[in-house]
Amino acid sequence: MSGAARVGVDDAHRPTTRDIESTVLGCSDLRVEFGSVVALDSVSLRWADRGKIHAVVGQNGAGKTTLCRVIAGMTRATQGTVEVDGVSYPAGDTQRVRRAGVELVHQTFALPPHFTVAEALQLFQPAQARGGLYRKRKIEQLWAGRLEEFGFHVLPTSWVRDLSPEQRQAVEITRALSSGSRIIVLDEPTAVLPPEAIAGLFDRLRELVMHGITFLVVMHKLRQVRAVADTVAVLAGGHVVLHPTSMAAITDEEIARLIMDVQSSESVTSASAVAMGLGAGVDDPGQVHVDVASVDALHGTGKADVPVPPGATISQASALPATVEGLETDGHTGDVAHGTTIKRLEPSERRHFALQVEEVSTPSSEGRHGLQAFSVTVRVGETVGIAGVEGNGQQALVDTVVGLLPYRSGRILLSEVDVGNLRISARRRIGLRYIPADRQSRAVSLSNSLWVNAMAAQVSSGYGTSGAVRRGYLSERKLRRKGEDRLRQWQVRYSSRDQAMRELSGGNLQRVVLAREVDDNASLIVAEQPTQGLDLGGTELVWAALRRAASAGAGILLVSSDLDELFALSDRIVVALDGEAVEELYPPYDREVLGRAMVAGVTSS
Amino acid sequence: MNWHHGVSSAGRVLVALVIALVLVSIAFQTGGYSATGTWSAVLTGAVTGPGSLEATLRYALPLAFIAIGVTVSFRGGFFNAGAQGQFYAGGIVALYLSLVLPASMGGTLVAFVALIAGALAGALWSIIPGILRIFFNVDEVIGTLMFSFIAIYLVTYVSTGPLKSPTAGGQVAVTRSVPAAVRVTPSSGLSVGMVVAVLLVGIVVWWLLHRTRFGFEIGLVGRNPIMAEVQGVEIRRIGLATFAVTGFTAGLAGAVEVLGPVGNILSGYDPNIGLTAILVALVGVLAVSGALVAAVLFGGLTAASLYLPLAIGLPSTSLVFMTGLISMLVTARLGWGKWPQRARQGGDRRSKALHDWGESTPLQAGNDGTKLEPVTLDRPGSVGSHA
Repeated sequence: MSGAARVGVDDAHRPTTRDIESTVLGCSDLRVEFGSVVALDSVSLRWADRGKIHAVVGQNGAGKTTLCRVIAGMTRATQGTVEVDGVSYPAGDTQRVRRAGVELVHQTFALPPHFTVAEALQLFQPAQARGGLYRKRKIEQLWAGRLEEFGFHVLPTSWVRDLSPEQRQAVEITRALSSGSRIIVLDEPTAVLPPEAIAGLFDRLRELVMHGITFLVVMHKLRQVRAVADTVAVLAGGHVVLHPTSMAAITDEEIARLIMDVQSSESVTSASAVAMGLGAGVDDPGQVHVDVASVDALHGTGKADVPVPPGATISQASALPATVEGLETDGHTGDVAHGTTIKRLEPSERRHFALQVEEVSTPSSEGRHGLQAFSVTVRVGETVGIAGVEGNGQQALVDTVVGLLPYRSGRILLSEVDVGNLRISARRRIGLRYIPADRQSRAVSLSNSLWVNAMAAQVSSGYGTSGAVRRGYLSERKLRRKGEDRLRQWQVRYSSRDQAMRELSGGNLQRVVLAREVDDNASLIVAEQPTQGLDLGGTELVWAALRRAASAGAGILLVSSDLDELFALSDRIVVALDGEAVEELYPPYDREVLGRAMVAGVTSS
Repeated sequence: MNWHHGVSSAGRVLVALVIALVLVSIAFQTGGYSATGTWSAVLTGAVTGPGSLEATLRYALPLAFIAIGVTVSFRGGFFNAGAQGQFYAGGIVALYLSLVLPASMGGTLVAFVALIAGALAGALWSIIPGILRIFFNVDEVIGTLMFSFIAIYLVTYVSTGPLKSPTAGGQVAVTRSVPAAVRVTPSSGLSVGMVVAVLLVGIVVWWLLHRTRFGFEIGLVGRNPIMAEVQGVEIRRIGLATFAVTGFTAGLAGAVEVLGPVGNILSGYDPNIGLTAILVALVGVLAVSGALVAAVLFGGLTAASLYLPLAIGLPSTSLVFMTGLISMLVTARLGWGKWPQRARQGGDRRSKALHDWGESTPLQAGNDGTKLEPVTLDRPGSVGSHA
């Protein structure tokens, strides 16, 4: 970094000619427009040091991905240039930027699934064999060597479709490196990884840095930025609000404030959504504290890292004699960490279950665990987190509860009604709501309009459409209006209720899902990775919505691979391992204990 | 869809028509025919000549019936390509009933029963491949086309076998004629009743699509079956229903054709009507109103193609070229104003072809790019049949 840390917009560091000469990567006065939307506006950035990991952070829609794509030459800028090793290129010239040694590793992978690893890697090689003929053995040997060289353990003969997310990422990075690139742009590399694989990725990045590779990394989680990055830059609303700054010179709180506060309208929006649209989870007039508290929660200083005696409360999964109060009285997450009051349930209260899963078993499929006599209950107003390494039965649990997957044995009760033979529509009428992890295929219909997406479940399952649908006949006019009411109530930013869903950004899209899935009649909300890929504001909104729903009497089944999220929201956490519910944890939670439980089960080891 | 969406699709179709007109004119001119002379002959044959307008509407009628039903299937994401067979099934059953029902019932009642029975026969002919598709994952294009072949041979069978006309010569494969009292149109092929019928079917289907939960759910399933299932849509029921509706209108078209203008069944009659009607539905941008307008356009071209050989010696197939061009150009979605937006979507740029109702094609399954096989469809009997 040239110069010491400079925080804030006013005294932002302005690049000089001298800087450009010593720049490994940079851009000048970039402007990118998509139609009427300005994604980047006069963005100038300089990264001086090679062999470092440079992070870019910001909210959803801040322009991070666009910046990556422009720098890697994948998106054409309206104006501005990209500099690589002190040479300026007109933005958008992929071939030249690539030749200069910049490669982008995409947010979602673009490898052909029916290729072997060696074939897929060979496919992207600029230098093709003479006559386009290859010897299978030869390219397998070649890529086995390369993968080994970069420290990745992936067999070149395996099919791309069989790879785990981290292996796919490894192949993508290998692809990028083997073109001779010295500068790799990673767009949200951690978003696709299970939490246990993130440390491995970071180790690999650090090793590659030793060999002089420079990384530009987009990330969401400050904890991860802190763990791996050498410098950090912050984007907000398409502008630079923090020029690349050494991590040593800035605190997480400062970064968080820059992400949140500069776009103060954004954080007010989410906070006021809590207050207005969702009925005020927080009475505190000092709304700012809400944000700060949740920012803390996100990167862990709030509670998870609060020293907790090892071997925190933990027991074999069993019926809980008491429920944990506290979350409902106050929207803050910090309370979870600071001990909880325990209230004994009255006998009448004990009967109020939102969900009872009793010894349910399902067949396993494609390396994914089915359920093995899985049991879990969610009381009215309770949030139960499901933790586990991916593929330990979480998907099967969600699918059987929602009604997408039949089960072989056991019972599932929603609001104490056996749903064995009930269709999804009937379950929804009981009060089942579902926030799927797979937003683009399960949660929304991208080519359908916003109002259709906001009202789809109500119309299809037959609830909450009074006046607009009668005995199968519907009034499109009234439905549109109802849909629009919900969009407004959840502060979705849109231009027309008739616009296509695919035009919305990630956080906004999830608001539409919430608008549909969180209502007064919800009795059980199955929330599956509800904040994955969302920024702080979006995360805050989802959390507030779930807390509010719980305090209004819905049970929440929260399946998440984000431990911070589980800690922040769950009244208790059930650990799924090999399709069984093996442990149950109560606050205050301990990251290490949960980690061990997820891998092996604490009490069994 | 809202009105400006409708206007923009209509505009796009018009642009495609103009381009097709220009290209065909060039083809005529280079082929040695005067383009202006040809077009004035087309106009005479389709609109201004004596009886031309009647002929246009006569050929538009069955196309409109079928295209309205095809619209429903395509909106639901199912590429039901078997309208030809469903059309034949309706024709055969209608003819059979017109021959066996007692004349004492009265011609009108017999005609009514025969029309409804023909429509139901078409529905049955469509539902069978529908069941194969939805419960056994047999590709619906293959299934419906195979059922068309069966129907084609059935037509040959009835016209040479059980219903063969005793007065026809040995080589002519034609059935006995529909009793005059049962005929629903004069031999011109047009009657007020049938025009009303097609408008009525159009209104009912429009209402189904836009004013009922059923239509709403068709729109969900067609664009993203997985999302639809998660919302509580009975996707299998919706799928079967769309197959039934398509078959019903195609069967009705077959019954009207036999009881109306044709009056009997000749082996291999109207061999292309099913596929043409699919084009009509696509050119009509999968809207009921669009299907009606496109049916008249294609009916006019058919009428003109019969007139051209007489008027200027141009073979009638010359206009097949034109229908093909129009269909290609319309379905290619000439949205040049949208290229930058498409580029922005990057890898998300799925085929924008066949229609603009969804952002992609029914051929291509879910319009959100999700697989057409909903999560449970490839496992027969999963949802709703829990342990």
